[in-house]
Order: sequence, then structure tokens, then C-alpha cells
Amino acid sequence: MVLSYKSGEITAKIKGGSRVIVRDVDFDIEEGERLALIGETGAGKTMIAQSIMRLLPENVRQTGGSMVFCGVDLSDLKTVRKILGKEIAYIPQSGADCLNPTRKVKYHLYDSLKRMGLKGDALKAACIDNLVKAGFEDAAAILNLYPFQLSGGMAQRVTIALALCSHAKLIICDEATNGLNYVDKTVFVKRISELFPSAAKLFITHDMQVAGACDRIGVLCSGRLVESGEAAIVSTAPKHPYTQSLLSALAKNGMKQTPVLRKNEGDCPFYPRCEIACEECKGEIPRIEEGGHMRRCAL
Amino acid sequence: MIEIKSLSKSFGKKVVLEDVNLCFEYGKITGLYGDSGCGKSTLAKILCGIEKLGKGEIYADGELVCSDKVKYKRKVGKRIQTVYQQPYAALDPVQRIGASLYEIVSYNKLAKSRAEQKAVVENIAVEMNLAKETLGSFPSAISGGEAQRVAIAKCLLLSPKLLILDEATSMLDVSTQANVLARIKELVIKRNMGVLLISHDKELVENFCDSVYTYENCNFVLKNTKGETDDEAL
Ligand SMILES: Nc1ncnc2c1ncn2[C@@H]1O[C@H](COP(=O)(O)OP(=O)(O)OP(=O)(O)O)[C@@H](O)[C@H]1O
Ligand code: SF4
Ligand SMILES: [Mg+2]
Repeated sequence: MVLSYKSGEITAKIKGGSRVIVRDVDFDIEEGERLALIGETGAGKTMIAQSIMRLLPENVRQTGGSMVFCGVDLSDLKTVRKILGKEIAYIPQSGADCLNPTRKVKYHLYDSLKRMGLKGDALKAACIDNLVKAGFEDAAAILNLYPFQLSGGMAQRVTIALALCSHAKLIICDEATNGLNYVDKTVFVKRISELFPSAAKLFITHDMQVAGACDRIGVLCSGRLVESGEAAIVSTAPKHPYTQSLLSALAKNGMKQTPVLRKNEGDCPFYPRCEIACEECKGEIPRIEEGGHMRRCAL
Repeated sequence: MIEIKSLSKSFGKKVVLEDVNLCFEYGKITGLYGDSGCGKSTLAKILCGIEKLGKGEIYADGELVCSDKVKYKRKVGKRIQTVYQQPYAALDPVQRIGASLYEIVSYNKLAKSRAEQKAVVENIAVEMNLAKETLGSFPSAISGGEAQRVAIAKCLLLSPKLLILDEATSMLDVSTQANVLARIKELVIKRNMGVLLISHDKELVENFCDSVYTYENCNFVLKNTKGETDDEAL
């Protein structure tokens, strides 16, 4: 097991009180496995990614959670700082955002490689090598560019090259495929899988195509995990009404809307918008597990 | 009606757009479809005056907006507004969302009194489905989808006649996208404005737009036109 994650409760302090953003989201990722976390905007996906790296915003607290990475407890901030960038790599949504605009591409890579203990010619060779692996044919031409001279796709490949500088056992990609077209999106998942075959991979996405290219999918609705299981099943024949609504909102399925129908009552995060809600949905919602597939629904 | 006449644009030796003639009618949704980096965004940038055109003219309701001889006229060009892919870029990190909406209202003198200002902001918040909580937050505390709706709201405040959505929903999940686009479809009729949807998502463009153009050989070619607006699709 590479990562065993239990969110506990993630709460944000806001004007005049506090608000629970994520609750009881638990998952494990094995070596080489690709897990997609999918959900609407505001579902708490980014919060989960940030909580693993202990990079939550100042006003956000996590209580009662536990994160174990390769047997190491991540609750100690010092430990996390040591591991981050070496054993845990993060590929953010917009590659350019995490690159220092005043530094050339090569210096970003040099920094990471130095952290891994490389020097001199070995460092330079590794730098080129990683850029080539990340998909640049003419790596030497990239070295001296500044981040603003890169297109979105190029900046993303640079962040992949940076991740390659580490010995990552866990790769976290937060919406890293946004803005790429369909072909590029699936190519991205494939490329990450090939470059980091044995690493555990967490793909955070709102895109069912990306999620479908993974091994397993966890579906988040308002900070709760409502369904999880094999990607092939969840992305094509989901059992939870919320996941079903995500599928029918796809352009090719007619972009069906799921408006708010009623006030929030009870335990189910989808209750306000669920078309088939009934009396039973107001009580405690059971967790139904069948052969590796989980759903939280009263029906 | 917003019209583009014989527009060309090159970057150095690379020709991106050549002799483009397009016309955006009010009450209609036009789609541009093409691979990333082909020149869709360049067209959007030219339309709202961020990028200069090489050759050609742009007109809004018959008035010249810009040409190869005349500089972009902001006052006329205000009728064209663009929402981009990166919503946070349009938000000031140290300003609350509500305040940034107020700023637009007062800067552009969209309301006479304080009470009227408040009403304008509240209306737009309802129109774009923004919660009170969101208005009181700083950009760092709202999610990508919320930020995108704020960015659209900011554009709509200026009552554009042509709203350009440049990959503006690619950040959004499908159900938020369906909601936002349904809202925009209503506004197209209600406000009698045109919408230009730029996307590399073929299915989206084909389902949502009245007519679809694709990028071929430095130009946009009409692919298909829906007879009637397909209301059932939403
Ligand atoms: N610092 C903060 N303080 C208070 N609330 C916050 C803060 N950051 C995020 N939130 C709220 O927490 C919820 C979850 O946010 P998060 O960014 O994790 O969503 P997400 O699933 O990543 O969405 P998206 O797909 O739009 O990126 C949102 O409703 C957001 O408004
Ligand atoms: S528990 Fe009830 S309200 Fe919730 S998804 Fe299931 S049927 Fe719908
Ligand atoms: Mg996010």
C-alpha cells in the first residue's frame, strides 16, 4: 500500500462561522494503481490533494484524519516537507503557475535534481533526459526559455519533467488535463502511467474521460464519497444517482441539468438535487459494498 | 450584429488567420472549433482589442471598432466581452468577490444610487447562481467553477452585445457546465446578445451552438447550421 488516506473532517473558517468542506473520504492506492477522484466544482477535490501534502489554506483545518504513506505517518509536518518533491510529486492544473516566472526552465530542473543529490555533468544529462521523456523532442531548445514563453501544453510537460527528477512513489495530478483536447487528455494519463509505472497515481479531475482511463474511480459529491469502484463500471454504468447525473450532463448525452429541487435534509449530499429521493433518504444513508464496488444511497 | 471583414493576422512569418469573414448575429450562438493553438484565441483577442489585427476591419452595429488603419476604439469595443479559460486571472486576490463586482458597477457608472448599485450586483449574482457566501469570499477561497461564474458575471455586467467564451467552460465539470450554458442560452434571448463559443470540445460545440465553424487553412469554415434552436438539448 502506497497511500492510505482517511480525510476525517476538513473544515474552513469563514465569515461568521465554519463550514465542513470534506467529510469521511477514505481511500487506498496501491503500487502502480491509478485512482481518479471525480466530482463537480467545489466538491472538495483540491482540498483533498492539498491535505495529503499538508498544504491546506490557513483558514482550513483537518481533524480526525490519517494519512499513511508507505508506512510513514504524514501527520508530522517535518516528515512531509522531507518527502514532498522527492517521493511525492505534484502536477498542478496550470503548469505555468507553479514555475517561477523569473527563472529559466533549466534552473527549475537543476534545483530538483540537486535535491536528489546530482551534480555536474550527470545533472545536466539527467535534465535533458527528463525533458525528452516528458515529450520534448528538442530538449536543448527548451532549457533557456522562461515560463511565460511556454504554451500551456509545454508548461505542463515541464512540470512532468520536474516530477521525473524525483523518485516519486506517489504522483498527484490536480486537474492537470484541463484545457487539453480529448486526444491529449488520454495521452496525458497514458504518458504518466508509462513514465511512472510503479508509482501510485491520484488523478483529480472533473472529466469522466480522464477518470475512465484510470483503474479505479471515487466519486465526490459535496465533500462526501458517494460511489467508488472499477473505472470501467463507474464511468459507463454507475449505480449512484449523482454519478448518473454527471454522465447525463455530458454534451453527447444531452447536457441534462440537475437543478436544486428541495432543501437539504438528512445525510445524503445529493438529496437536494436527486430526482428519485424519498422518505428513506432523510435518515442515515447506508454504505453498500458489493465486490469492490461501494455506493452510499438509500435505494 | 458584430462583423469581421477580410481579417488577416500573422505572427512573424507564420500566417494564423487569412481573409476571415464572419458575422455574429444577436440572439444566436456561434461555435468555433479547432485544435489548441490553431488561432481561435487569437481571433478572440483581436475582437476585444488585446491583439492587433494585421489586415481587415471589425464593425459593431455598423460602427467601426478597428481596422488596419484605425486603432481599437474601446468605447465601441466594450460591446464585445471575453471570458477566458483561467478565471482566477481575472480576479484580484486581495479583493472580495462582491467588492470586485461593485467596482465594475461604480467604475462604469451602471447605477445612479447606492441602492441601485446593490440591486445590480444582487441581480447578476442571482443570474449566475452565486451564493451570498461566495460574494463575501476572497478568490483563494472559491473553487474553480465558482470563479468562472464570477468571471462571466463580471462580463455580463457590462451588457455586452457579443459574449465570447474562450474555453471558458473547460474548467467546469459537466453539470456546472450544463447549468452555466443553460443560463447563457436564456440570456442570449433575454438580452438579445450574440455568443461566440470557442472550444476544442467538438461534442459541446455541436450540441450547444446554432452554427459551427471549424478552423481549416487559416480560416473558419461553416460546418453546419441548426435550423431551429434545439431547446430539448438542454
Ligand atoms: N480557504 C478556503 N476557505 C473557505 N472555503 C474554501 C477555501 N478553499 C476552498 N473553499 C471551499 O471549499 C469547497 C471545496 O473547494 P475545492 O477547491 O476543494 O473544490 P474542487 O473540488 O477542487 O473544485 P474545482 O473542480 O472547481 O477545482 C468549495 O466550496 C470552496 O468554496
Ligand atoms: S440516498 Fe436518496 S437522495 Fe441520496 S442519492 Fe440515493 S436516492 Fe438520491
Ligand atoms: Mg480544484
